[in-house]
Amino acid sequence: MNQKYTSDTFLAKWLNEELTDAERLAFEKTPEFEEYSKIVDKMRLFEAPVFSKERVFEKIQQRLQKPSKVKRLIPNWMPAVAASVVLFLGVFYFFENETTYRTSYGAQKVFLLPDGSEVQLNAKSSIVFDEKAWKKGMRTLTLDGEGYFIVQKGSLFSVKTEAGKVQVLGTEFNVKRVDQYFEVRCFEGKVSVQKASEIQILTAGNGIRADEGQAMEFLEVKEVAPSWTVGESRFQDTPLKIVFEELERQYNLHIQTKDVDLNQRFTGSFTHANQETALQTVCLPMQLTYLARENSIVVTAN
Amino acid sequence: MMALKKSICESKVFESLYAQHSKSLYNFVFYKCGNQAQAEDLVQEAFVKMWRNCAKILYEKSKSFLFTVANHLFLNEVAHQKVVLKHRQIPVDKTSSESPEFLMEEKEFLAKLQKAISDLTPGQREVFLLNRIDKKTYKEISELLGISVKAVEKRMHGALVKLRKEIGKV
Repeated sequence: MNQKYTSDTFLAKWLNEELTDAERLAFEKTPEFEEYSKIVDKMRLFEAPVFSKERVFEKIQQRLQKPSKVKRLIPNWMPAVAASVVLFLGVFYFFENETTYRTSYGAQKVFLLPDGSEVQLNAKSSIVFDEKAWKKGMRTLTLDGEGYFIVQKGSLFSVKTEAGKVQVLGTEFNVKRVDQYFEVRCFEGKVSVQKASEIQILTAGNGIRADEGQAMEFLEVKEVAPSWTVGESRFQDTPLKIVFEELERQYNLHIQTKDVDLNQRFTGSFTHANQETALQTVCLPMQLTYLARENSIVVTAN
Repeated sequence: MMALKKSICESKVFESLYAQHSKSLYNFVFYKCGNQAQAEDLVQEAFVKMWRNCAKILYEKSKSFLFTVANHLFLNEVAHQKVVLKHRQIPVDKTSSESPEFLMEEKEFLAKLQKAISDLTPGQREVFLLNRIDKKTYKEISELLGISVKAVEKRMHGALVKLRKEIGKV
């Protein structure tokens, strides 16, 4: 077949209109010319499949969001938790060098931040921050759960949560944000708390809290450090719902309630050392009974 | 002042490279594998790789990096499917006044052409489609594939010869 043409690139040159006039005229007289022309002509009717640029780009972004250089301090790094971290990283964060520290159910750990500040995380909590930015003086981290911060003096230190922001210069304070509940206690120095557009300055011995959609409420802080750092969780006139959630985190429980008013206020504490004792100290004074059932605890009103 | 070099590590630059090259990269891979999902995956993979190595790649080299990586990734996939390209056809509006026989013939011809394209060798097919559909010049194709212009022309010529033969056969 090929010997018909002067070279094995003849048709390529024809398509590109690189043939000499003589070559072209001779070719146009051959019977094949029509057939080739038709093929080339009909090729205009074909096109590649539609490519959904945005969708694929989103997938790429998702893959890039999963930090590949996470310091694994705790081996059981669960996908579900990873997903919650991704939630916290804004669009502008995902290309940065994120470091995550986290604790699992019933665990408490102290982590040292790059500037020497300390954070102690309560059970089932995490912080995420950008180590590079931190070293440059941008001391900002995102908290989920509860943490006790001992901040070295220096630049502004910010703790962001979904419910509000806390900023300080050098102090000790505790921040708790679980679901919609937001609580800050200041043990030393001064902190500024911002929730939506409201800003409050807390001095040592003061605290503040707000539950879902409610106004901020002031607390008195008598301890020198959060009770949970010394092996118990203490509550002061706190909705029962929050107390049960704390029990779930400390003991990795699933608590179901039947006919229980979860907005009742509880004042008291429970230990982190013994599950039975902890359940009793919460349920007895509230006149509740509890039953262990497979993987969950069922609590009913007496 | 020295001219500022564009760094791929900047997300804006990365996004603009994506906007520029993703579609043609996708077509390029699709002509090889004939599978849309696989083509999408390889495009993703190539851009993720580029991002992870952004500091090591010069902006000027980004395009050839993408195509080379996609090509290698494709070759690494253990099993590629028998390539059956399904090209969408642009509605032939001008022929609406033509006779039904003509339309039938037209349809048959396109089906044959379709089949003949999928029977080309992978090398011929990618060159032919990059030139005909993506309107890339022989020079551009030669750069993308890392072969000489002459080799591109040979594949192009071979593709046309083979297509005509196949269509004439049936």
